[in-house]
Amino acid sequence: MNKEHDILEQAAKAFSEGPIPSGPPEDLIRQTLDKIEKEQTTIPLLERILKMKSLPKIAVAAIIIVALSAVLLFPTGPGSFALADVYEIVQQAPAFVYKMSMTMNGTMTGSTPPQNMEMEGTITVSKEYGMIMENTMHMIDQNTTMTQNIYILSAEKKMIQIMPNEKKYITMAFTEDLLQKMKEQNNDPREMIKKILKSEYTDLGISEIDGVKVQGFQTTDPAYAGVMCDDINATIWVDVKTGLPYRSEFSMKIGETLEMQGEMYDYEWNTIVQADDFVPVIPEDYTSMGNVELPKMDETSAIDGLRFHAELVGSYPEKIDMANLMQAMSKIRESETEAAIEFKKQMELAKTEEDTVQAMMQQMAPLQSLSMFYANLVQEKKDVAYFGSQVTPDDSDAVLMRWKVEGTTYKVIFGDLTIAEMEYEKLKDIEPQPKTEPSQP
Amino acid sequence: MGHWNITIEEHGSRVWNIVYRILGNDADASDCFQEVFLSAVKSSRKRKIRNMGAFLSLLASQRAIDMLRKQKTNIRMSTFSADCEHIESHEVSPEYCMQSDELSKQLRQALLKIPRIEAQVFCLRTLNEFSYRQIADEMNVNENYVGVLINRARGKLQKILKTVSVDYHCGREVPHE
Repeated sequence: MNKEHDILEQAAKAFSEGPIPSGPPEDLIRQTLDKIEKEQTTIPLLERILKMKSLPKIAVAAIIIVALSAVLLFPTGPGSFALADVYEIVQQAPAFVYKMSMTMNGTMTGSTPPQNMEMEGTITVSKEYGMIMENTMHMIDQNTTMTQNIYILSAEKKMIQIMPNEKKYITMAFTEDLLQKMKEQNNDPREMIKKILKSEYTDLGISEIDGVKVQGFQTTDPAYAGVMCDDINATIWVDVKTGLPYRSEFSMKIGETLEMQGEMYDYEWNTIVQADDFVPVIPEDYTSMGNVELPKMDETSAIDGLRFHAELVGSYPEKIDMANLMQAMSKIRESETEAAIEFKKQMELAKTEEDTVQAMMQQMAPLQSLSMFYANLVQEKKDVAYFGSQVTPDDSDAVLMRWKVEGTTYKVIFGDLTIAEMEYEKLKDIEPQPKTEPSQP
Repeated sequence: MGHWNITIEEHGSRVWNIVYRILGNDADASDCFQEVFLSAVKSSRKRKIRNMGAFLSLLASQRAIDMLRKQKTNIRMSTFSADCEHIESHEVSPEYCMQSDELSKQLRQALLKIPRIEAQVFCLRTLNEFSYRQIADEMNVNENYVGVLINRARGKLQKILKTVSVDYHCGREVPHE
């Protein structure tokens, strides 16, 4: 036995067998039982208010607004941070770990059964190696629990998703843009701060969480999440002592039927990671579900997405967010266009689960590209407008979509899917009247 | 409150053993003990817990490690003399108690420096003598993955412990040669 091994053996023996006081003490058992009793009879205040049938909903709304106003008006005390300073401090952390818990209620497409889910995850982020996400998801309606380990490897520019319950894994290659998107989707605090900085946000001033003095920054700006979400509310609480995020919260609505909320906590800013930690562990008996090329996010891919939709169902999508695009996909079943028949044929040809996943990912890639490209333009505040509800593939000269390139210059995609640059003065005379007035450049 | 008094009676000492060994003092162990059972109450509302003993052991390891990592300064970490006063066994010599306490402290400090999941798996294996299969079942991960995590944890802990060795007789830390 070598000396290093011996040290660990001795320490482990002392740790597991060394003398400790016998317990638990009687009074601790009594206190615990008291707390359990209290816990079982206590319903959160808001839940109680909402359960009071006689209380009009408007009154509930008023209570919440008043409470929120009180928080928003909380004065900023001395020793406060500017959010930009926090971003600088966070950027210096070589590696960190945090926990995320999230709930999802509703359904993505509206026509499918609800997918109420609770998720808990631990996320390890390394500037050098990438990200590891260890998630456990509990599907409430089905009463099933599943785990997945996701490795995002910066150097290899790939993502490996391992599903231990199914003994399967999938590998995806991605570009720098998509790496960025993955960080955003997982509420990486660096990205969260960056996005809040780009949005309209409120300094909530100094408050206290778990006895820790924190300063809050909150945004409800739709630009924070792009078109993927509505009713966004994101708050980050920064430890005043360290200048590092202590807790973050978000809630959002995706489409009409899906609501999500979550919190990130237990940030550890001095974690030590090694290259070895970022080597995915794939047991030999796991089967691959294929190597998937993730969709691109440029204007050419976006045009491909619009063309794909038109060929499948004969029209452009009314809105370009993923929830609406998924709903549109359900129309394929009834569609008799040449492309829809081919699509259905391809799906029927898939013999194995791997083939089905591959075919589906490949077929859906143009729509994903379109949705992500549009969401990115919204986030970047590129004054993007889309007129899919008014323009058909036959309206060849009509403006289908436009966004600002620089100054007063815009890029325009026409009904026949050609693309051109145009000055705003000319553009405003030819584009359809949007439901809300576009902003002046 | 129903069956929770029976549950504490059945599993309380195991939970106490885990949280105390990880946290090393009465005050934190007591806080953590309560937190473990309150979490179990909440979880049992959401889903059926098939093996309460194993579930509580997992929860105790997780919560105690989380608590240990939160208070990295170890302000409340007890001293040798305070701990040993509470130990009722007459077979334990003060020297053994001191040595054991010092080694445990070092291991606790080392556990702070490795990823949380590795620390959890290491504790489940060391304190509960859980098999790889049991850990895999409780954590809902693959058995091979548990093996990898334990190996990683052991490798890192050995390296960390190697950097500091202790002169147990005089109780002061000296660099390892």
